[in-house]
Amino acid sequence: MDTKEDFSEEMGKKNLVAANVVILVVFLLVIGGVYYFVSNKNKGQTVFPAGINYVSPQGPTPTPMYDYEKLVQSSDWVTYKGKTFPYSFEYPKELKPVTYPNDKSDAVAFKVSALPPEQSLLLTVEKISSRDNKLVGKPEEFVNSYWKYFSGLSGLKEATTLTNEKGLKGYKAKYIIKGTKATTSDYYFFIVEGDNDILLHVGDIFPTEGKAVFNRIINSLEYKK
Amino acid sequence: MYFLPLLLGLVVRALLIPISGFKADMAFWKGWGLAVADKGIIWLVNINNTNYNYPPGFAYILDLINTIYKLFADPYNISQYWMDNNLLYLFLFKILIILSDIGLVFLIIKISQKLKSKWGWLLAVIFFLNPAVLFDGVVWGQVDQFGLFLFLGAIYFFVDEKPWASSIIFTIAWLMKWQNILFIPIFYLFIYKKYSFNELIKSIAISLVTFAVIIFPFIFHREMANLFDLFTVNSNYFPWYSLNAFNGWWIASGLNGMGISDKTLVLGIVNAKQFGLLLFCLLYFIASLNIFLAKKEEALKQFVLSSTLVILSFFHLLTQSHERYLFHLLGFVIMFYFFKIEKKLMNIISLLSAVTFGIFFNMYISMAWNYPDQVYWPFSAEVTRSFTLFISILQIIVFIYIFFRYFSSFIKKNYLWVVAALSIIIVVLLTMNYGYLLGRPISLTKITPIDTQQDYLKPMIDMTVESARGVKYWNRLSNNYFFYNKGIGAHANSVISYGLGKRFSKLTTDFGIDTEAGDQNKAVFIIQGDGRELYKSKPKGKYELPESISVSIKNVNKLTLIIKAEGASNNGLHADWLNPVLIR
Repeated sequence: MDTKEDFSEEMGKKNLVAANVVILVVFLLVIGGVYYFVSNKNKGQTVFPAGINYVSPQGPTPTPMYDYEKLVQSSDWVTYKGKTFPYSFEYPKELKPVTYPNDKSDAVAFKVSALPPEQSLLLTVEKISSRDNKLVGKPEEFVNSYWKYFSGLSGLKEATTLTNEKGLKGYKAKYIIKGTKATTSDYYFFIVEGDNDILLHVGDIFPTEGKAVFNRIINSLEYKK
Repeated sequence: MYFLPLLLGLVVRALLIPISGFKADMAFWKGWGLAVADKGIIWLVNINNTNYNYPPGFAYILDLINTIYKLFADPYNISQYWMDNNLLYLFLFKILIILSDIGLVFLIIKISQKLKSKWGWLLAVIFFLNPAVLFDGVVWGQVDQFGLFLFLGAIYFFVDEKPWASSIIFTIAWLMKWQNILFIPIFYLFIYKKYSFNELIKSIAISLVTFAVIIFPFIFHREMANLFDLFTVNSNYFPWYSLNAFNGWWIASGLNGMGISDKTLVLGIVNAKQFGLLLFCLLYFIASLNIFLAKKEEALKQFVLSSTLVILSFFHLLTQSHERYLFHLLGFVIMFYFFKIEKKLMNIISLLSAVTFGIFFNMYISMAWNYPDQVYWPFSAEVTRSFTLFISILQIIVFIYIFFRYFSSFIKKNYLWVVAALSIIIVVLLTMNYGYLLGRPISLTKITPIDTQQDYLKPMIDMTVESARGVKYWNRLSNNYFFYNKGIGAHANSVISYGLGKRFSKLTTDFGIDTEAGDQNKAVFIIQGDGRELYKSKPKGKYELPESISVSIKNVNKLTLIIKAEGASNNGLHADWLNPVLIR
């Protein structure tokens, strides 16, 4: 008796199940049809990911914050002077220097990209003895081993000597980023005559479009006591 | 007879591959995939490089997709790669989704066979043709089925009495899709209950080894801090009531879940996020208890049931929930039949239909709001808003129905436990609101802002702004060397807002320029209530003494504290709100 009832109940269920499946299939076909129609309508557009992201090996390509071509040709450049150390350089008036109170490294930053200024330090005064006492007076060795002080770097890619238009001598170096084959942007270290414990460390914080502005800043760098 | 509908499901999926889907998500997959293929997983995960916020394991999948893509096309061809109708990318990505769907069909059938349950094939077909499954995956371009596939894989191995295999699959599951991280406590509790303490230790060891293998690059390059950041980055990624999840928070927000911060006070000085978290803890406790008190032979059945309660609580009780977060339910409800949680097939199909209806339209409307070109939705904004109310109510009813139908007898039997847990939650709420209920002054520093904007670093509680740079820079708040224990260390220009919900009548505070500030600039301090200026100070410089004020904030919902540089430069303007106190 029970088995018969179960069977007829199950048969009733089967019909309902079949009806459900039919409804689902019809529904799917409608949805599928609508979507096929929509996909044919879609002519396509370029969509980049929002926020900080990677779109090509050259890095993100946001709109530059300044018209660098105009800036580099402009005569409206002013002099920035270090607060603790007597370094100075010229920069376009339109850029606003950012400094930090009681900063022993007398750093100066500019907001030239999406990064906050504290991550865009243009110049810092490197005290060699604060990193390694043994390297005081050995700027080349210091530059070659500079990567060792940062966990995100794994080695030196290349280092060359240079002299800027004001006669400051120094080094230009690139370091390897840990875990990748990529390298950092150029790091500049200028030697200060008469003080073998410090180097003027300049970072290339500018986007590619601002390279000429950066070069003009580098070439205007001086250190006069 | 089931092969035909399965074939139909495959054909429909193939037809839907060209749909661009949720374009923002697809663009993220492409960006992150390109980054991991070019620069490696360590670089990808670093917050300074990308906004990757998926688990580390998923990066390998994206890496694989991009590696294959490179074999056939140039990912650096911007006009081709980033097109939303880039068919090759859509195909490669959606294949992962389709394979997950097929895997789920396979698992549903295998679990039903192992448990000697009828209708495995039928339920697998229903799952495969489920419009919500199709919409989430092959239309939207999301990977929720991938996460569900791995989780059900872990359940399959439990059915097969291989807890070690379950542990491996489960660890992979939560390293691929964050939602699975929710199940970690009840997963190991279940192993302890079903097997033994020794088996629990063994499972944890196996899980740790699996974890170590997947995150090996981070160990190798000593970048565990980056990994830790990744694990915590989502905790406040979108601080809103609801991210288009049609739930109770959606209704509470007035059907505009992304219009209200979840730091708004809802119960005394407890904000929405904290309140939701407490409710979630209560339900999670019941879910855990359900496993802990289960008979050994019933433990797996109760694990499935508890997992369902966890996913429902996650979607409904926590703020910041996304529209897709109920997806696991589509697989869990089917499991109800195999594990005899629900013995009537028609009940399963009816419940599944209600769940499907809710999930489908929740996602469909989200898509219509974000990418109207991707869906056909002819209704006006007002009609759509009303519709979201009905969907929210339906989903809440489903939640309440499942809770009462499958947990009421358990709660009746063990009501003392539940009463104890509820009492703890009430005690926590009372403790948090102790001062407020007694009408005592409440320090503003106890309340989380709904919004902060600042030109340099971030506002710090009971410390100067410079302290945000790290332990070496920690400094107490002070003005002219007069020290304060409580306050907010800020930097001009700064805007800090609080959602007070008209609970307080007065704000008293001192303010001034901090001792650590530079001396060249001045700032003004402004207090606003619901956008109206309530107070504005004269310009204050470094050597000026702090000022003390009391401002009426009666009926103020949104309180805003502003520090504005006077003049062109904000250099060195470390400015503080000192001992700010709210009075009822």
